[in-house]
Amino acid sequence: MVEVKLVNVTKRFGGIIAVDHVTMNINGGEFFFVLGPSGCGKTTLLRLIAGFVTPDEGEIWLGNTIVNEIPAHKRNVVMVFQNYALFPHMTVFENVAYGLKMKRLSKSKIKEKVEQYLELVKMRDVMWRYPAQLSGGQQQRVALARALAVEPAVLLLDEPLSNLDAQLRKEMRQELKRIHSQLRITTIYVTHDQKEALAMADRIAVMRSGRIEQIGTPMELYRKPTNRYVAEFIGDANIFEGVIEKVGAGRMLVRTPFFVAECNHEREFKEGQKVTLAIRPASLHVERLQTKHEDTVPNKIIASVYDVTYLGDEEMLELCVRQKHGLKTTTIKALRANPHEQVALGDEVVIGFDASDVIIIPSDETSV
Amino acid sequence: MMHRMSSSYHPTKLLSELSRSYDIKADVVIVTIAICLFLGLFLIYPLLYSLREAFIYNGKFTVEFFMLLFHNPTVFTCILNSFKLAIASTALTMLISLLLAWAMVRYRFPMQDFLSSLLLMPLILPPFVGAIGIKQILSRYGALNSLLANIGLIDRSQPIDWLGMGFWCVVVVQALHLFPIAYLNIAASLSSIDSSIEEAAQSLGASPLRRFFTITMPLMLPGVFAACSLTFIFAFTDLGTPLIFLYTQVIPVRIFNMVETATTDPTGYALIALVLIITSVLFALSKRVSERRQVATVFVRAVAPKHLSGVSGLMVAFAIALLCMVALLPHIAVVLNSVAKRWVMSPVPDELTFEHLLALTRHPITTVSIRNSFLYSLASTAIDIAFGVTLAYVLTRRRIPFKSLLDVVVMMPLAIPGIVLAFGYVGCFFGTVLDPRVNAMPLLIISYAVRRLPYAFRACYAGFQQVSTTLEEASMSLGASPLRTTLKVTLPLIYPHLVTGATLTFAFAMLEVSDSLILALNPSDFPITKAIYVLSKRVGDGPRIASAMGVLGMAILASSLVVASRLLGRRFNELFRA
Repeated sequence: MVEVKLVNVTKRFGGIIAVDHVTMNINGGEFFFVLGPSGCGKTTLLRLIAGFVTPDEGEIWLGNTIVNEIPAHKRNVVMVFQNYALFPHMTVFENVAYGLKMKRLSKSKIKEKVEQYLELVKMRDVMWRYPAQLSGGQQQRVALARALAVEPAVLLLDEPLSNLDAQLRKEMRQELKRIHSQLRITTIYVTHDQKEALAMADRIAVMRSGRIEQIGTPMELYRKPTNRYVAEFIGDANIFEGVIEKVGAGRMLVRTPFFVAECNHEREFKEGQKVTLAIRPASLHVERLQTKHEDTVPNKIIASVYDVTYLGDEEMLELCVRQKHGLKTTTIKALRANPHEQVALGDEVVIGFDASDVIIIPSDETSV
Repeated sequence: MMHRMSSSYHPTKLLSELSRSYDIKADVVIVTIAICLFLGLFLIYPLLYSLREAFIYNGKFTVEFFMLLFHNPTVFTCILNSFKLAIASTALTMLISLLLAWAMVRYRFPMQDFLSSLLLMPLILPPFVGAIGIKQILSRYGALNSLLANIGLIDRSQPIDWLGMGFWCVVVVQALHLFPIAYLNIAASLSSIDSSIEEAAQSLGASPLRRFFTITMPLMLPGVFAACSLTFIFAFTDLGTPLIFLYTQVIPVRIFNMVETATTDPTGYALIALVLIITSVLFALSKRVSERRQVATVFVRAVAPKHLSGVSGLMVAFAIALLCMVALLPHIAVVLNSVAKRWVMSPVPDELTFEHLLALTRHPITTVSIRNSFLYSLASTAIDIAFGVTLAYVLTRRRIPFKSLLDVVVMMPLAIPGIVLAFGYVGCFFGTVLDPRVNAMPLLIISYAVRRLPYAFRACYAGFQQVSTTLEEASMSLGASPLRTTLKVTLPLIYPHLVTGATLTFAFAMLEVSDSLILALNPSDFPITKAIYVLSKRVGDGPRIASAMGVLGMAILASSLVVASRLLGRRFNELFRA
């Protein structure tokens, strides 16, 4: 189980900085995700670790060695490509055997390993076919077997599921998780799909414009995003700018133009400090308005229903909220699970939320 | 089961069932029949006729004539020489084009774009015209010897007899003409290898050298094979170049000389059969290789080329520039020859004149042949575009049975050398209304049309394929009739392809060599190429006037290629691939 360490790694292409002073540690045996929108530099990061591009600055460590100058074919880091990159002129068997031949294993050993790993990905039946005769999902599995067969120190996966349909993707997620827990190879997985990352990762690095925004477990990223970008990228979020009005023990009061929020806090805050609040649509409770005075209480907002999207077992409401002392309005998204009470467009409602569900982002860290 | 049986007993019922699963309408039937008739009569029939004459005697199958080829020492020498020639030309062409393709695809160096456009230049002249120029340079008292004498490398009184090495002259001239096409095929193969494939090999532990031998080379094999077979077939069946260099002991020249005895001597057909067998085997082989290696991966991006800066970049640029220079030497020689008054014992002409170029408008052979060539080429282009458009339409827009068979037949002329077709024509239309001895015009037009049909068809097909049927459906759902849709939506969109197809068909017809040499028997029927050949044989200013006509041909082909490349842009190179 080899750990991977990046120290201040930077890569430029012409005038564009693809990877900008990235520092991170990936533990041995970890299932590590790099998550970001397309063009954020995540694939370049992967290619730096693979050795297809060399960094302009910084160090890449595999275990106890700096590998900056070691060519890709000597790193024992294997990449699975988005388009699988199976050798079209070789059978499945020959594809999987390729890396083993490079290691100069004996014929019988190669045969044994090829069969072992094709078994692992359940592809032994198609051993003698050519890649063109396989479906996308099958090609994916063969590509994985080919990479795993060389027993790499680090496995790199570049958007491996993006070319599969929804059903297959779900299936392959399970497969990848199973295989990882079986082999415990340090794995770095690049994707733009936050659901994929949340569902599979031990830890996730969120990347934007070549930089790492935050690294943490899925829970940490969802519950405690350190900036607005991460809050909005991982899951959905309603964002409000506010000013701290009162700080108490473990609790504080934040005033926004639309409501006053009472929230929990772990860090030190000062009265008068500007903060950004993020509240997940799923943390909001929506009820029909009973009395007109309800919005004088903290954590309650009066709103009118602007749009309803029915999603089966849940519904997404878009609610229109007016400033307390002004004319501006904003919309708040609320997810109602298993809705019993029907709401119609134009209905007046009260939105409520718990103090523990308010995510506080200090405004100086806000990067939007 | 019952249903099927009963339907096969009732032809009308069968027909109505067919028209349900395919959309067979009168127009499709007429088009298909017209094309089948045309190709059947002018492609299949002459080939079968030649094969029959070669293998059937008194109603019985015999290989006697065929065996005669190998027992007659002169013919056998011809066969051996042709093989040697084709192998040498192919080897030289492949050597040049492999290195060239690798440099152009995998590296970036100074002046690359300019050089890459220059590389297509050799194509604008049939090699046999270039050979006339080269002959001037290499003759005993020609430019090369006098240049060598001037710098003191040889004794002026004992010049080197370059032309005595006719074999190598033919090889070099052929290779210089063919390497651009071979290069384009190889480069296409090489640049279609996705970078991820090589990277995958690398991350699995393959060193650069192993990567080349296990991944890159096998994957570029289809292009290499296509290039090889194109080159080999061209060199093997090239009539013009050996004729000019008087390297006459080869199959094409032998066949050319047998035209007059075609009706009495079956060994001519046996030779044709031999050529046909060899070319079709090669063609089939290269098709198989390219089909077997179907690429399964989604193409994402090509392997990033390496930037060669400094001395190494300049050296590569210089080497390619030198190659271009040498490849353009025949052209330069033809141009110089056409304006030379005297060009003996000096590296460049001593005295210039426009007399020969002006002779194009006065000399009876030139004026007639220029007029003829325009007429033939325009007529054959019209036939090709008419067939090309309708066939492309039928194949892309209608569901008809035997689609792939039709496709194969239309592309077949690519595999049929000009000498084979022309010789077949002479034999099977002898004594009919189409007899070339009486009037060669119809057969010349037809042979040009048949030989260039694949190009015209391919251009039209690409056009139709590019225009999504949804556009046509959108037009019709907005109320336009099918005819109006075709006129207002489809045709305007595919028009660049049609013009390109027409331009190229026309240009190549203008410079069609082997069928022109064989079929045009009377001076009044001569096209440009035959006139060039006949003139080049004449003593006196013959070769000079021939060169002047060559210049005209170059001008026509060059301007056509410019038009085509303007219209097609980046897709232009695809035209030259197998």
